[in-house]
Amino acid sequence: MRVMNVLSHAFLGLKDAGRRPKTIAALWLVNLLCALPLYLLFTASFGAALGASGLARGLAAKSDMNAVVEVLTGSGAALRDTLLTAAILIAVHELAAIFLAGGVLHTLRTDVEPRPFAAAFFLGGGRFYGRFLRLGIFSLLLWLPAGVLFIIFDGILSAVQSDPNREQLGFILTLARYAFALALFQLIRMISDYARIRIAVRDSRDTLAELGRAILFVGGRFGRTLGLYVLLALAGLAVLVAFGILDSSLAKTNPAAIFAGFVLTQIFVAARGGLRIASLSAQRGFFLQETRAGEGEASGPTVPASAGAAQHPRGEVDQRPEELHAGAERDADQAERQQEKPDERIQDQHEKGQGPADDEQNQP
Amino acid sequence: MKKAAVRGLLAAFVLAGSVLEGGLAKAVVSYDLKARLRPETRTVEGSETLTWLNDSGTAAPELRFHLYLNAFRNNRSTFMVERGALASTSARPAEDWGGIEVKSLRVAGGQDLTSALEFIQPDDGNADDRTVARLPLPAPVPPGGRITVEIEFASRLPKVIARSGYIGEFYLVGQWFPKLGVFRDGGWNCHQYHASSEFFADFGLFKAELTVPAAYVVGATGKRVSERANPDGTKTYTHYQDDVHDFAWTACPDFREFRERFVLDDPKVDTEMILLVHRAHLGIKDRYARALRQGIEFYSRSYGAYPFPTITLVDPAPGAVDAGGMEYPTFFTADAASYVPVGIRMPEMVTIHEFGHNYWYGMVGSNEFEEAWLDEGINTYSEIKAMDRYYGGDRSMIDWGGLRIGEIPYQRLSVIGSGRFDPILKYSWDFIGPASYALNVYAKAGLMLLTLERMLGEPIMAGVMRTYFETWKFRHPTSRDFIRVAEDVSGRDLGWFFDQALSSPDKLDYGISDLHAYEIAPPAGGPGAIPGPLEGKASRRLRSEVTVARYGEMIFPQEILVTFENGDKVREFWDGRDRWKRFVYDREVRVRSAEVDPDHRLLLDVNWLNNSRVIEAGSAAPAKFGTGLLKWFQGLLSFLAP
Repeated sequence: MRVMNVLSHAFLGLKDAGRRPKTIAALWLVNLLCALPLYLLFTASFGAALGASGLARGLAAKSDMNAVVEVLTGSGAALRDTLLTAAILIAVHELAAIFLAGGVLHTLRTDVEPRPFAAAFFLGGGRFYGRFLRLGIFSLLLWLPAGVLFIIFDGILSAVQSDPNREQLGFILTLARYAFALALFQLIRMISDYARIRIAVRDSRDTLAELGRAILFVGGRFGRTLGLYVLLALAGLAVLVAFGILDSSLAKTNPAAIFAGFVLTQIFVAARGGLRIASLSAQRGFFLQETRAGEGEASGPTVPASAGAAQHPRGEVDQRPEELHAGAERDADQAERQQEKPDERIQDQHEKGQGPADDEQNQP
Repeated sequence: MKKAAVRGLLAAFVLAGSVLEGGLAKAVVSYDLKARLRPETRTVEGSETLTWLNDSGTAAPELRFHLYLNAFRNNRSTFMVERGALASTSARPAEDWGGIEVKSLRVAGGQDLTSALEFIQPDDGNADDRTVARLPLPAPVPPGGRITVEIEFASRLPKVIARSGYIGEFYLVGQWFPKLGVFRDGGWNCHQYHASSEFFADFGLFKAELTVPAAYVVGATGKRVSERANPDGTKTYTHYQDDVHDFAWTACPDFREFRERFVLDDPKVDTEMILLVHRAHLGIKDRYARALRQGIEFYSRSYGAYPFPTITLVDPAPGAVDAGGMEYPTFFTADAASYVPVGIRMPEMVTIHEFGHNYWYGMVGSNEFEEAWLDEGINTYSEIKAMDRYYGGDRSMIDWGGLRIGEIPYQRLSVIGSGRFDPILKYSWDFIGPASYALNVYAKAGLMLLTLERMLGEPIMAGVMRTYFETWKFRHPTSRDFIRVAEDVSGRDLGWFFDQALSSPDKLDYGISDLHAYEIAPPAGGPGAIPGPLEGKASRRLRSEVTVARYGEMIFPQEILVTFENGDKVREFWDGRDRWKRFVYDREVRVRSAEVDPDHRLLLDVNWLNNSRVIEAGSAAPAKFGTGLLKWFQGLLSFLAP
């Protein structure tokens, strides 16, 4: 039953993401905009390095790594600039992605009045930016216990590999170390996701406390939270494999094929964005199902209890996954229809301090 | 047992009867070694009876010995200082150090002369270095005279360093006994142990009795002539080989021994391949065997038949990285890990390279201290040719996951990115650093010979190499000898080539500096400026100008291929002496492209990007690779996004 519940949340998350093409487009666009400067710089510097060399013609027609090595060896400055720019762009994208996460989670809310997509998205991005940024900094604390866990894991593997002559085993255990480090990275991401969801749902400003509660939340339901995360990660893996197969089938020796490769990449990135939305939606639905009434969306200014929700004696809300996502779907549909109707009431409440926690940008 | 005893007697007879009468080489030395490995103390207790023939025309008043294990005695030895061991960050635990101690030393059974042994430092005067010792003799050894020295010694093996030592139960015992230098030109050529070079010694006969715990599998230079079990739980293996100049051995209980006979009809080769593969690496045993077969075949067919009855490949234990890739006569260490993918050809490259040293070092005994390129450079050249032949020139280094890289581009990497501090020909310890030594002596020297080959033509170069080998095998050639052979065989003066490529750190770089075309204006001007008959008769003409430039200091004759828009091709030749040269064409079509060295003969050219130029540069290549980069970067961003 619990497995079915997790599957149901994953499915509904994917379905929910499918209903949000504009949100997907926003994620894709930011990704592309952050990557494009690198493309422009690289093509310019690589083009300058090649100059009018006849080598360029050969490289365009055939991917000869020997020639590429030749070019790269003679283009140290261009490589340095490219790497430096890449590092800067990664940092910029990370900051932008924090904004995007706020936007996504805000548009997933069912307890706010409908407003145009762009307005809702930017409102959410702005509202939660400071909190999510702080959360990102606080979540660095999680690397301390993760480091301890890794040291313990490493110690166990080192004990297993007491015989240095068992080189094959050593190699496998080295891979296991990498896999464990990746798993820890993903675990911290998952906890951070639930912390963001808590902040967005409860409009909380106490990010450190929410991070702590997210840890307790994940710890209390580790199997299901992990199962949900892994299910969606597998969906991402499937997308990656499909992309790899399609991409490798393109010869990329003529402009049309190169362009087709570019388009395919954009589809892949958009699909990844969709999966990110699906992941947040599914986890949010799961979170809402698992939490009690006063802790959930009831804290918002408007509290439209879902039609199918059953009120428990102590205020607990017991909803089925479909019901939890139904509200979000409704909200998404409304937002996507871009109803041009400003929500003056909520705006007033914000100004009067009666609404959800004040947006940090609105504070003097 | 009986068979072993008969073999032992036979070996003793052979050794006794042929002392200083080797088969292929003039035997200047004869070593009769006895060694016992004591794993509990990481030591080898040994003795040697050394006979030396003064083959020079000068009396020798003293002997000089290499005591190479003393390089690992502390962090003050020349070897360790050159390796940067003085830096506090490179400290080794006390148990990791090694050394060699001479216990006794007698000349012709006389009194113990150990106290007369004196450490000297002929190269750098480093008083802390004890890798060379001199022994003043009671009486000089006259020209043509012989001397016999009996030495007892104890070698403490270091934790594996510089292809010698132990790790776990794996032992690679190299540079382990007191070994004579070379007496020539009226003095001893006996250099200290440096970080970048090892070998120079006289040819002779080597017999060794190696006693190890019975569980250990042993491999060594030469042919095994006997083995016997001892009552104390040890076994003694006797190996013998003539026409070599060093002896190394290995022992490890985790070796698995594989023997395979290798026979070649033309030229006649009949040898036994002995593979000692660590049990952790059994999965790559077939790769080793195949590469070794390729090496024997290639070198035998290219230079001359492999003459020894055995060749032993040693696969170092896991973790013994420093033991990998080392040559000794008829014995070498390979280098691999069990997880190296088939398409990453490092095990094959190392195997072929180290086997090849049986030719360039083992048989052609050049002085590695002073002219290291004669073995490492020539061997790199040979190894590249072998790898390209067996694995394909465009993928001889890597052919894995769609990535293909040949060995020539791989070697060019280091040469292209190098500074201009050292020439190839230099004392090994005089290079500005280990990287400069490696890139010059290995990569640049290898590419220099490939450039020479493309200049002379492959058949002539094959003749050069074969003649050099035949002329100088089992002797001590110098760079001058190699150049002389190259000039004699090719019939060309190659001094200009070697003066620049071998003796100069200068770079070679030619390119097309300018390429353009324009329409020639119709005749115009004042009265009398242009002869009347041309007026109105000239058809549309285009002037194309190709400017070739010499960006580097090295001067090489250049060939330039000029291609016109109608497909016409013109080959121009330029002596390359000036800084630039312009070629001008007046035609009905304009030039489309120009390229210096169109056949890529000059592998020493440090920049092939500027070698060619087209009149209309395309943007397809940058767009193609930029799109590829974009794909990876966008994927990375989407993965990292919180």
